[in-house]
Amino acid sequence: MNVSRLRQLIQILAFGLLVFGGFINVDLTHYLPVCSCTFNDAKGGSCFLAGLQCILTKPFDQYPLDNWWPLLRLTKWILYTVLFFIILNKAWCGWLCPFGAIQDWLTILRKKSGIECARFSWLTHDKLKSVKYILLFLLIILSVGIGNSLFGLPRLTEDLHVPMCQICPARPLIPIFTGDFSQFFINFKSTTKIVMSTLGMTLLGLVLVGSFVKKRFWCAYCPISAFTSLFDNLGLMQLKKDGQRCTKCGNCSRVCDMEIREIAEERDRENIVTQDCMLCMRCIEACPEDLALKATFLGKNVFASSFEGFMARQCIKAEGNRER
Amino acid sequence: MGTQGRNNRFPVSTLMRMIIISVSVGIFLAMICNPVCGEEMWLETEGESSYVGMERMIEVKFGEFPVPKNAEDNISNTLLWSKTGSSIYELKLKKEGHAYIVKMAPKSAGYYTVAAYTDFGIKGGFLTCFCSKIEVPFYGKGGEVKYEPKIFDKDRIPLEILITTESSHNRRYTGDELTVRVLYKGRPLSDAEISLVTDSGWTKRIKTDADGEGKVTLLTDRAVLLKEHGATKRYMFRVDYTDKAAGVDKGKGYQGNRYISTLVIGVYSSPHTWESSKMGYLTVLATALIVGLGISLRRHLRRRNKRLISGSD
Repeated sequence: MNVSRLRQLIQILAFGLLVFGGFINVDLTHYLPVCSCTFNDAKGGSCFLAGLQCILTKPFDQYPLDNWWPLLRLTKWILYTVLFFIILNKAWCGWLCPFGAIQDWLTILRKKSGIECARFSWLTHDKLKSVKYILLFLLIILSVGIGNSLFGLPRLTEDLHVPMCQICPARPLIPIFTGDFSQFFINFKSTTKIVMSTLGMTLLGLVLVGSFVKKRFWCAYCPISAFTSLFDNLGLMQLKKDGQRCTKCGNCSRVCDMEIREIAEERDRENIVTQDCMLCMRCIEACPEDLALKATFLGKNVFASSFEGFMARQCIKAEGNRER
Repeated sequence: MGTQGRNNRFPVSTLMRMIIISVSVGIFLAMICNPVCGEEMWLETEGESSYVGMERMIEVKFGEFPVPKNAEDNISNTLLWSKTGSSIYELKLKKEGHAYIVKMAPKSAGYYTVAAYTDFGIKGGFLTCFCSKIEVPFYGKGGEVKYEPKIFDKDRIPLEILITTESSHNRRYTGDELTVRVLYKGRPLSDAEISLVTDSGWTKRIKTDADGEGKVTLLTDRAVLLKEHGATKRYMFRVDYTDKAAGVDKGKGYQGNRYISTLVIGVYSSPHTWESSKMGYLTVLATALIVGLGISLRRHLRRRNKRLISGSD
């Protein structure tokens, strides 16, 4: 089974559903916390981060204890989100995320152009790991600060509403696929708006080039990745390693789009889903040792590394190169 | 090989994990399996306006709360009317599948208000009635299409919500400040709490003054995720009022009358005056160019240094 091809197919289907689903009245927003851009009119579902920011912006006194309905809605939303990410774990990022799919297509374009891939040094990579947590923290604190007075300070300006959406590179990019270019703008209404919109446009430019030269450039800094890392060990989908069978060939780390070296280096831990892992299973495909790496769902093997599979994939690649 | 339990972060066994998942799924199912019903009734229609000759469908909808046992009977007994100018016409409610709809195709243009009234019988000791309104302009030949704040009918709709602010081109925009009046049997109702609810559940509450009026601003950024470009969203005003007029209904006594009234309006995003698309594109292109050139230059220098080191220059 060629997992990469399967993943590409699922990515295309998920992209179609989440980006164009609105055209056929699909709206998963109230049921699943899917991460398709809210600013896309034809979306098949709304980004849960946008919903989270809106909920956090609400003043605390708007949740009166004598009216249980808003609290019930909030609780339902939290439960849906937690359940969704417990079931999928990080597989959302690798298999369903529309923005991830766009980055993978940019990578394919780069490969076809013959341009060399960029990789960060491990030192740089380690230093930049905390960016997504900082973004998640800021997203939460700014949203709460808009609706409520924190530490006795005045409330933040409402121009900061949905702060992450204002700078998120997916906001202008995803609506393009439905012919909507309206999210490319600098807003001059206030200083805050100027700064936020400029940041957003700058980040988009950076992410477009970054995703072209480096695989999954944005994913390492995405706050959704930071959020889902809470479920690394609770998720039903797991990536497991048998350290005894590993020969430290390093193939797994070399093919990893997220440049995770723990896959190759870790010998003691069984569960090796890290904060950056997106469960794309390329490492399993690249592993030549039987059952050294395996993806499991509820404890059952879904896909495991094998020498036979590895050799078969190498033969297919060699034939492909020969034909070219 | 004994690899179980080597996970040194959260040593949760598979059985424990399954228990946690089962409990979560159970709670999840309990949360979503709320029987659907009506703590409020509202009217919905597709689009904002119609043209004379076109048939418009309006659906009678109920909120998500436990259903009274005789709900189907009550819903099917909903009375509906449309009003334009001073003329009131009765509308027929039909059931199509699971939906309760009414169709209207007026012959002359005008600003139509559709109102609905349902008696839900005694609930919690109170005789509960639902009222709802929606406004639908019909454009075309004949009749003036202009919003005029007028009371619908105090006998048909005892508790009524009325927007007294004139609208621009029959449209409400985000950022508009609206004055909303609540009338009970034709008289202003003071100290009534009006909830403004969006379709994603965001709520703002205001209280009416001595004249039965309250002001609310339809803000883009304060509301839910209104995309700032031409899309309409639905806002629902809701008022819940109970009087102390006790009585008897079908042989059962009640402590008072409870009216839950709603008014649904469509809100357009306000036209942009502060956004510059040109600057947006310029910023993206400039950043992409600078970053791209930076990467190319770095690679060029690296290759050149490699060649120098290897002495092949």
